[in-house]
Amino acid sequence: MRRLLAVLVMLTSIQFAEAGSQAAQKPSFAPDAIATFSKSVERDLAAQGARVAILARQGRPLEDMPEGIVFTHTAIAIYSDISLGDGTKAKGYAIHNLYQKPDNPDVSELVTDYPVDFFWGAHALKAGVIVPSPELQRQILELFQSKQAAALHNPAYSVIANPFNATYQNCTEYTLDIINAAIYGTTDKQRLKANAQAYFSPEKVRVSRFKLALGGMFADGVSISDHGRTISTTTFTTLRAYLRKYALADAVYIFDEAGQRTSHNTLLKG
Amino acid sequence: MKAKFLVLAVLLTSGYVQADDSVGHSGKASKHSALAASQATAVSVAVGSAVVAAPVVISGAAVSAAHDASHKHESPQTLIITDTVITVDAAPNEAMATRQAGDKE
Repeated sequence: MRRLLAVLVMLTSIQFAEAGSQAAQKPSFAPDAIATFSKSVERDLAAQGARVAILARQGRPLEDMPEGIVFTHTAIAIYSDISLGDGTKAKGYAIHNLYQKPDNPDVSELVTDYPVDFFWGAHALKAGVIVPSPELQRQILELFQSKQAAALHNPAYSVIANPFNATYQNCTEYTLDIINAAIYGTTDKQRLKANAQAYFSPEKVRVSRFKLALGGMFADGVSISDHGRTISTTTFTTLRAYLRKYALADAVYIFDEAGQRTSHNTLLKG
Repeated sequence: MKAKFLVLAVLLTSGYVQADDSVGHSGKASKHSALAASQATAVSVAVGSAVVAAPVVISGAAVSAAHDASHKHESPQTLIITDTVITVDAAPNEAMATRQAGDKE
């Protein structure tokens, strides 16, 4: 019986460990398709003159996601001068991510990658896009130019991090913290969390507390210790609602493989 | 009993983790070789490895122009985007393995 348990626990550990990286080894789409889609996303942003955009990818099948969540990863794309290995320079979007460390999912690190890297493991060639208002773009840009964005990073990772305190942070909460730092002109975490509590409405996680507690026991990167009675976290949808409510988004849509923009709210869960 | 609890826990938690996708796909050697292969077949696709990216400085005038354009429903100025597909290099161990494999050929 002990052996059976050991095998089960090992299998679970493998599943947890490969939750994010498996898709990279076996992408769902041909490299050409991913490269073409990634370039389409860039050109779509460029056509709007977007210096800064918030991008989200769908890294898992919808049926595997908790109710109300579609997008699995969110990051900030910044129009940049990119120096290439051959000494040339090119203009395009660099994507500023908070990623879990591959060998330690409880801990995150800040990683800059590019659209083809970002969408490499996507389950659908579909991007969630928020183009902030020009003034908010400028303020976010200043945070990155002054290297203050990195000061907002908290390496303690939980996939369901509570956005109202600084105990843990996930990719979407990091994005929220950057947005609020840009809005309020501060990197003071206490002030940012107080303002989030006052104005931001997170997504209630529709998975039982019991199940989440078990997840926390067996999986790295899952914790409920930063939550009270209800468990709520930051999602792409809640960021969209937040920026729309306060008139800080110029455009919000889903961009698909056919180059179409969709703004159906029913598709924008997650 | 303990065993049953653990099995239950395994089953219950296995589905939840699927929501978790904050993992980078940057340094995968498989991605680099796949893109290189697509480069060979598709003439229009060029792949470049990024060394560093610096945000393009935005002037106050550019913000005002973009703001005005968005309010007047005019088309903003389109930004230039390279045709090159830019990616980060593979992780050091994978880059070395690729180089060693290349040397043997």
